[in-house]
Amino acid sequence: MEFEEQQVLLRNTVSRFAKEQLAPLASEIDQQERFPRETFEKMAELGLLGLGIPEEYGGFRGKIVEACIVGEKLARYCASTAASWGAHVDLCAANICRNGTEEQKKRFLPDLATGKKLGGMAMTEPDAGSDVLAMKTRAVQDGDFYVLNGRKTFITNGPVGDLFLVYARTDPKARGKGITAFVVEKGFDGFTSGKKLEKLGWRGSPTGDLIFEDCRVPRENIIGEVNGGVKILMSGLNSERLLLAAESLGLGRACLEDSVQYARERVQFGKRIADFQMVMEKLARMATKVEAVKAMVWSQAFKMSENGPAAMTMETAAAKLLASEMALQNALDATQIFGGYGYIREFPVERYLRDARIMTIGGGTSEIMCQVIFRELEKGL
Amino acid sequence: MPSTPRAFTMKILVCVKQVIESETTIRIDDSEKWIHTDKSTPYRMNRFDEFAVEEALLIKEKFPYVTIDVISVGPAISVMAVKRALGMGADHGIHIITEQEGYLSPYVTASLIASFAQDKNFDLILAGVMAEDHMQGQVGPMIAELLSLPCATSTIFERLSPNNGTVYVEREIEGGLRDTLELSLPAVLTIQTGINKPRYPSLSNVLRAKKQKMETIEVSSSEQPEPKERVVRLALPKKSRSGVVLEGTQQEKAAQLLQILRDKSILT
Repeated sequence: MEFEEQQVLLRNTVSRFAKEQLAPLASEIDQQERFPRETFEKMAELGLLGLGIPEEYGGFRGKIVEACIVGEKLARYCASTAASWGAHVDLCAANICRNGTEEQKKRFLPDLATGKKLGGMAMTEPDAGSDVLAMKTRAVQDGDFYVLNGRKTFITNGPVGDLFLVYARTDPKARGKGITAFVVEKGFDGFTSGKKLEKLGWRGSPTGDLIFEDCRVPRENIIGEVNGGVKILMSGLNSERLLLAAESLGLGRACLEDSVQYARERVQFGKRIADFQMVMEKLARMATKVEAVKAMVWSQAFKMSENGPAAMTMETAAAKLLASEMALQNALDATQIFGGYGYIREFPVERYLRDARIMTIGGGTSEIMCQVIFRELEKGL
Repeated sequence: MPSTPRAFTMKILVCVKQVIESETTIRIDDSEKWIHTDKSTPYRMNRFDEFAVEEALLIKEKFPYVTIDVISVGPAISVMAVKRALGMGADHGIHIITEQEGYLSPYVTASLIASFAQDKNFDLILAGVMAEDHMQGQVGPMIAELLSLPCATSTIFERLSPNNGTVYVEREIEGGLRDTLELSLPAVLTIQTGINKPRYPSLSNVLRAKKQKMETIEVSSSEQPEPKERVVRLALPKKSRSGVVLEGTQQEKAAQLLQILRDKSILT
């Protein structure tokens, strides 16, 4: 499991880009709860918004390994930017790449690849979170259109996005077999985005509701088959979880690196706090967890790049579980090492903690990850 | 090198160096002559060289018949600087691999580049004004000398006139003033920071970098010219004292500060 040369180049390029362009804005966009449009323009210039989209649709190839490389490095310096980027390339564009028809790919992907349009995905509803198949948003056929009514919530890029992959119920009697995937674009009649939700972390990545009031979506915007939406939805979960694991890795590494640097500089009782065994142990354990997650994320990313996301449900759930809990624990430890300075906004560590908090919730909670893992275990018995 | 410029092809050579990331904590190795490095040591392209690569790319945007070769002399890790330049948009990469890690005399570097460039008809050779690690600023001028080419250092503006076979150059001098020069091509320019805004390598170029042609030239120590100097010893500067916190009323603290500044001859 060795990175290829161009993957190393990609990592170095993105790492420097993130350090120079994302890090200086990270605190500002967090405090102002502002979407960094200027950063996304720069990412578009670099080609990062077209990662994973085939070249014939204006993208820049790259598989899940490349996505994880970028996700980790963006999250290392700004978890919010990584989140909005992930929703665009993975939740939206990658799924259209996987499941769209040739005509749909030609229609939707070029604008996503160049960043002319920002993408997102909408499955969660006020009463359908972990139990996503309980979604109620309705889609009723009317000639060549489907009329959508309902409300989605907690949608990353909701307030700023242009194009969303939206799941709605086309058969109220069937549960899993009555859901269909639609592409809904800003400007469609009856489609509005609700107010931006104020959050604990990921504050530079706008989250909000999408509201559908007799929103007419043309039939040719259905991704996959009518009532076949769950397949589309499930096809994205494994890569989403692995990407979130990679972003957690970036965040956990930020906590570790900043803590090591601080512990070497901070002097108390006449010596560096790094020389106190209790601090030393904390740092060693943080590093150990990072190493474990690193091994897990990259071995799975290579495997997924090779064989596709199917049949990796248990591994990716396990990676997401371990990585997100590592990020959260490392963020807690980092704030402890920084002491008072870990609690004030002059240092990035308190932001790491707030950004890490979502990692065990979004993209499937730790509890759901455990449930998924156990079900896979049972299958094997 | 023939001195007549060719109107429809133009070749630029950019010299780049891979250096240790400047924020890295460094440790001097047991020989006391070099810095300890290992697999985790972070490197980057010398910042000054990034401006040189960008300047070449801007010239290419203006004159599409320009091709850009990028060259680096150094151990295996140096190839990353060349690859980065290819990612930024350069056409060809050349890596002259030297056997040993450690100090490489600018004379050796310049000689190897000059002997590579000798019969290649480059119209323009660009380099950063210096490398941020040793800050010697010698490689560019030495290449010019070895190839008997005109040279301008610390270039802050250039305008190429391929048809006249000249390049107009503004050099940064003391106090923000500028020297203006006109050099006949071929010529060597060393590029000062601030001349442009170096771009990031684009993803399409990075993911394509593998396919791009890289020429690797191995040079054993015996084939290298004799360095003109050697490193005697490296030492870290004495650790400066940590800060002093002044105590007392505002007036007392002001008086103490004034005394400190006078003691250090900062104020008289």
